[in-house]
Amino acid sequence: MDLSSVKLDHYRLPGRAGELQVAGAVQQMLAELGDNYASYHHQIADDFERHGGFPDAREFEGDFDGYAAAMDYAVDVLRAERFLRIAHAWRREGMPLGKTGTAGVPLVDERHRLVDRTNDASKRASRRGNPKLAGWSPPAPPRIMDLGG
Amino acid sequence: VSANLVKMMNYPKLSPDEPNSYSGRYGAREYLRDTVQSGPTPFKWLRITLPWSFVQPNPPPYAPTDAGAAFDFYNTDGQAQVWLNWLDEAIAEANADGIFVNLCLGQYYPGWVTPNSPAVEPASASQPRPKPRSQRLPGDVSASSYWSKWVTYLYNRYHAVNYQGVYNPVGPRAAGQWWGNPRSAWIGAFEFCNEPNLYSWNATDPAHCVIANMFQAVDGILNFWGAACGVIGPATADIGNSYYANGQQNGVAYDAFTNNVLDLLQNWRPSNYVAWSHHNYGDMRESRDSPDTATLTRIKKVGTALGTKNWRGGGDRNIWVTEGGYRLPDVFVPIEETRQVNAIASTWKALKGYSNAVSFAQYLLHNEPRDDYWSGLTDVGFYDIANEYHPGAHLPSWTTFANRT
Repeated sequence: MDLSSVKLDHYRLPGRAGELQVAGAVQQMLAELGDNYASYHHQIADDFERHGGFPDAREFEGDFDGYAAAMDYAVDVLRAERFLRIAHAWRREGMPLGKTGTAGVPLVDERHRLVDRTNDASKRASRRGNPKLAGWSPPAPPRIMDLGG
Repeated sequence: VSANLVKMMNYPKLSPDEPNSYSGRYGAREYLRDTVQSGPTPFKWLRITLPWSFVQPNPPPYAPTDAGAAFDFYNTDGQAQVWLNWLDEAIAEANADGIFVNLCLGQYYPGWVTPNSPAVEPASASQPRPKPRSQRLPGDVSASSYWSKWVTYLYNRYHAVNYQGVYNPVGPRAAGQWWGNPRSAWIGAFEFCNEPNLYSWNATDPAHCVIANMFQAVDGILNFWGAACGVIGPATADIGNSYYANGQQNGVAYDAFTNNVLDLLQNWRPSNYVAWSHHNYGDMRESRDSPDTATLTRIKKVGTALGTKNWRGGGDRNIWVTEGGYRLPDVFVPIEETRQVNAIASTWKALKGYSNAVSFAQYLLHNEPRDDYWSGLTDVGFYDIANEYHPGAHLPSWTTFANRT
């Protein structure tokens, strides 16, 4: 795995891992994450909850930079969870770095609560997620695409 | 059963003078507009490809977060204007003919997007055709990145309002509208990358992660600027795994790549219409022996993955086939012309019966002596002494593509 791809530009990890992240000590950062999966998952999930998941553009009228920053933060939190799982597999299961992914376990659930590596629903039961997703349905093709054939 | 399958033609050649551009010069426009579109089958879409590296080969004179300066750059830079004017012309001609345009961003990126990168992918360095730096996916595809400003600009330039492009002859400083669009050209779909599982540096970078982030970034861009077209991607090449002689990964199998991307997008809930795009050369090749035997092995695997991964919250598994075709050998073999007919007829019929499929794609129209990928509908033509192209005769597939119902 090319460690240069392990970077979070828009989210600072909590605790010791965050210090190593700022110092650019990627391998040590992954070791710290991998040795302490549960603790870091919990903290990252809290950060995602506080942030409100993916931003709603309507709340950023005329402020693309602000919207982009909020988007980038959300995406980076999900990347952090992915790195956390990779690090755990490396340190605790002896898998080579980068040879594992998310193992098919979603990063978020349908309410955009961060999912832990075992997909244990009880670990996120106390979190609210994004309430705006309650009535969500997949967007239809815009009329401009004219898929009527 | 889908009754809405549409035909798409691909125009990857990047100049109005190229035989495979959407132009009347070599008969392509007439064929598509007058023969196919007005025929018995729903031909509606044209795929036009433009790589970022052509438009902006040099590092930008603005910060990655400065959208206004990025728009200003694209509206005034000479190199950018050459390509954008070409794109204006091609898209506007299709618009005028009632053909929808899928704008695809090609697989070549400016070198400055990947600073400190080797000139070629190290794993491929000793190969006959090493992968150049231009095929390396950008390291940063966040909403604050240079890549997102390029995407934002293109989207804003070509987004439609009531089936009209946004006319803006002045450009950057016109009444708060920062995007120039002198021909009011507009697109119906935006395909943000091309065949990353084949072209990108798969031995070095986790391409599936970049592509998943691209999906989210493009959705966010449309979310902010106002959605007026669909988002499709990632145009997977339907290849198997391939490795260099040193054992390192070259291409990633389409099914593994699809699953890897979708793993990261489970429960994503995009704000806009987002659909998967895929290329089905392999399925077409397997369909060559009869006009009725297409099995769609590969595309159905993609459909299963889309359903399983629940990436859009259930239900919708729209698959846009944005490239496909039957490649003829580089020597004349009569039976191959029949096989091409069979592949087109058979695949078209099978896709019509596969409810997840949205489109059927034909790559290309003209076979050319300068490009040995001969999957077009005309025989190989020739260039005269004035460099004027003379298309070859229509192959039997010419009428198959036009008339298949």
